Amino acid sequence: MGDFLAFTAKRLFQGALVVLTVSFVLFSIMHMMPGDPIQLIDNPRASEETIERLRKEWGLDKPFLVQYGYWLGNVLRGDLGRSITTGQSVTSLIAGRFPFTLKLTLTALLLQYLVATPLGLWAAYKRDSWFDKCCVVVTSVLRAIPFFWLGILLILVFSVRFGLLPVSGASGPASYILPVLTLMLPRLAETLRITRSEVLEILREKHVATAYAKGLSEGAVMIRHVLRNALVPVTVMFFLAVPWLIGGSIITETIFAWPGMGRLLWKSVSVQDFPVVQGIVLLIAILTVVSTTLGDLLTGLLDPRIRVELRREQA
Amino acid sequence: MKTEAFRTHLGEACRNRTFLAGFLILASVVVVALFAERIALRPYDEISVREKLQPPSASHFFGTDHLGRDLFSRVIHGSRITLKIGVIAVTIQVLLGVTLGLLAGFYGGWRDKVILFFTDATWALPPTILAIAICAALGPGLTNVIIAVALVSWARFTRVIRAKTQSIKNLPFIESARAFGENDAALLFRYIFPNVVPVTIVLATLSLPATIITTTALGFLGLGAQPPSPDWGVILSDGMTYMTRAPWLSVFPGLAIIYVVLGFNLIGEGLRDLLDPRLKI
Amino acid sequence: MTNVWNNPNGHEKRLHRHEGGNGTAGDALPGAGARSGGESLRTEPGGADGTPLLSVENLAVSFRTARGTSRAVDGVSFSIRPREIYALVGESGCGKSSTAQAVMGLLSETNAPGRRITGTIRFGERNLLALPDRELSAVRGSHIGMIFQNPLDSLNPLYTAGYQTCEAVLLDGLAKASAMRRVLELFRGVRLADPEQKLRSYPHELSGGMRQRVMIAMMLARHPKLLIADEPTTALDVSIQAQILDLMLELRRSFNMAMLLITHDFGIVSETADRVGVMYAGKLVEENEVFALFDAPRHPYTRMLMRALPRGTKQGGRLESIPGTLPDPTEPYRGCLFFERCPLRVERCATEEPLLRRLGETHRVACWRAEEEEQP
Repeated sequence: MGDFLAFTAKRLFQGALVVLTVSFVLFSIMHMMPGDPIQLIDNPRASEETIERLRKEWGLDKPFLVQYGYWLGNVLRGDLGRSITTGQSVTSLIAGRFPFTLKLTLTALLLQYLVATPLGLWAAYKRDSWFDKCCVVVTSVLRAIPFFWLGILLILVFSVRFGLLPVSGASGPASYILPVLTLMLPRLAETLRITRSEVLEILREKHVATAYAKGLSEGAVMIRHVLRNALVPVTVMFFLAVPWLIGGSIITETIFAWPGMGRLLWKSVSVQDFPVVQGIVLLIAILTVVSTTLGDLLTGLLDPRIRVELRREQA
Repeated sequence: MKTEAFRTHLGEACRNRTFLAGFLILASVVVVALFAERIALRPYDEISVREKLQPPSASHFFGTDHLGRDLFSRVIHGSRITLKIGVIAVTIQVLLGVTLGLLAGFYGGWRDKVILFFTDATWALPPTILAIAICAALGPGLTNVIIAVALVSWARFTRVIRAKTQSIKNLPFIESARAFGENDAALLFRYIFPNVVPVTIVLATLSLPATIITTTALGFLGLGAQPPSPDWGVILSDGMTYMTRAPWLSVFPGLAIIYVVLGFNLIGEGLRDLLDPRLKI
Repeated sequence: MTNVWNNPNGHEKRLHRHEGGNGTAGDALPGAGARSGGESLRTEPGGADGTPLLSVENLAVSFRTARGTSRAVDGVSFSIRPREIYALVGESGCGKSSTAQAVMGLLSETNAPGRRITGTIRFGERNLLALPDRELSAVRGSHIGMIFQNPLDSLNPLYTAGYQTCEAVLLDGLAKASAMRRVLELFRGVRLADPEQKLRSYPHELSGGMRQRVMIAMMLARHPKLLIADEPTTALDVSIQAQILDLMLELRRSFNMAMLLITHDFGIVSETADRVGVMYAGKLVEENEVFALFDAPRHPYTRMLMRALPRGTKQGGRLESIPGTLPDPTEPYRGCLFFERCPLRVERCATEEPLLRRLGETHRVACWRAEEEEQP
């Protein structure tokens, strides 16, 4: 247990360091943007004094590192600045959108795993059966589909042609269907394939033969020696899917006019609303680091060898 | 001796159905890209307002877009862009990722820690977001998209090559080479590097699909090649605007993407089976 | 005091400590007889009424590979009597492992795609190949045990040694608490140092020798009558090999188990086996009692093999290699499979396959020229 705690601490520290670096890089990029952010406030009634006041207020006259310091301090207090376009607090903007993105991505993630994992397990267990062959062929094609194109296609078929499902907005359960499918399907295929190949790999391993040789029943071998071992790579994949889903949500939300964070990000990028972009990207970085760290921790719990590997890495 | 080995490998490769399928698909794509002008009978940027938004017909196989341009021709020419971006981006990824991986795995110590840190930092953001951020910083355009996509995905190579280097560097034949007085650079390039080539090839081939999809996504968002360039992502983006009136604008470019990606997937899997089946990518 | 190794008929005897042994001195190990320096390690072959414990008849195993159907085992027949040690020897790829796995029912669609198994494997009155899965599980572990070659991969890395051994013990219907106590005694029986600690250890924390001891404990926990050992010491350090082998033999004696020993090391064969079967390209080419085989091997392959394979650590002279290569198991054949490499081949060998036939009471050979007295 002792080295597991050490492992956890190390991972968390690394994560924090990474987020800090990202924030610094972000800040630097935004700072080096051509153009004076003040000028972008298209307010003809802003007098010279107002502009100067804003400049001072936003600390834009101070040296770079000091600005970064201020900014970081604000962030840690939950203040991500104000949107250049709307003047709203970035934090409140994000807070309004974030739940929608969360609902979308979580639904996609859970559904994806609930479907792909059992199917992958079964395909591996019944290797070369018609079911397995079917899975392989279907997933080969599904994996190759760009998810955003799938979204467009789904809209074409289900909304435009047959008028079955809403095209945009988050207006009730029916409106979830298409966006979730878009985010989910190609990755589902990928997950199924990887699960299948991982389980196939495990089935070939000698400890499974040992389990049989001991006299364990088929069920006991499958559950205790195959499934349990497969849990490790499945967990890894699960947590790695989170960043991808967040990334994919940008385009998906744009296509479906879903009022989430991704869409806000894209809009802000288009109009160069830096504070908003900064805030969202920072949040995404934190989310990503948190989920990968969680994944690492869980796998460390599940697989005792990983804790040793990490100890060795430190040496 | 080497030609004989090559021919046996080739024979083995051809017997692998996945590889063969992928190879055929890719070969067709390359042919199309090379001979785009001959295959697409019309130029891709010929505007004809009279013929705008026409459904597929004998004269326009895929129909026309909102400016009357022949979609078939645009898709065909777009294959060049796709291949170009994919290959260049992955090449950069390979150069960057493999070099760093070799260094990190071989030297260990502080170099390893620093490289690992940057590798992990790259993973802090989802690739799409990072790519968008980079594109937003650098501005739109094909070159910037290539850079963005390359910078986003090199980490995978570094990780794998680093692990492989670590497992090779302690093998006896390296020890004996060292005893012979070979210096670090020679060890790296003449002994270790050839052994990571198969992994690199497989990884590179399998990275192309994701690269292609990401670049198309960026094009879709308007961050890639600019009009009138027939980038597939751009066409899809146009297609969205005219979705109800001209669904073919959305369908065909997507099918093209699927075709190319499938080709790379299959050839990558085939190569993996042939070169290093234990690779779990 | 009852001890897990208690033989229903046996008495407890003190045993001498083994040199370099890994365990505590003066372990009580009951058995049919104590082992000391000069005593023969052999048990008497033959059961009470002569019926074999295991009888393999015409076993054939084939797999589907990229190049066609591969014959791993091609019509092998032999039998093992209770308390007998039967060694199956041959080069790698000759089918001995596949035979062992077929007996244990370990060839599944997943690790051996397209496998076809024909023939009969009789254990007691039952044909193992015809048993439904549930009954086969009941036979494995309790009646037949198997020890594998590489203990690192053979133990599940995610569970402790104690847990995995306990799994076997629990199959006998013990309550959880007494099961763990039994595991502890088992670990002591296989001479694991600090057995309480080992209960909580994961496989990657143990050395090769320790893992093999855990494996032995696991597989003998339910007192099987037949133990199959597939190259049990090959992957171990030379210094440990002897210890593990000694341990296995002791336990075998204590249990009165029969053993099917798969090996390529004639040194081990000469020290342990009662009878030997030599396999080549999926076929049994010679079978005899061990001393008789060493004195007068009749099959040319056996003789070449003896000159080529290691004899433990006592190396006498160079190892010769056998010219030529194994025949392609996917190609059809005519005549004797050893034809290409055989120094004694004649015309008949190319067209008629020599079947295994009886040359003496305990001797079987598959060669047209086996009876000839003058052999180079």
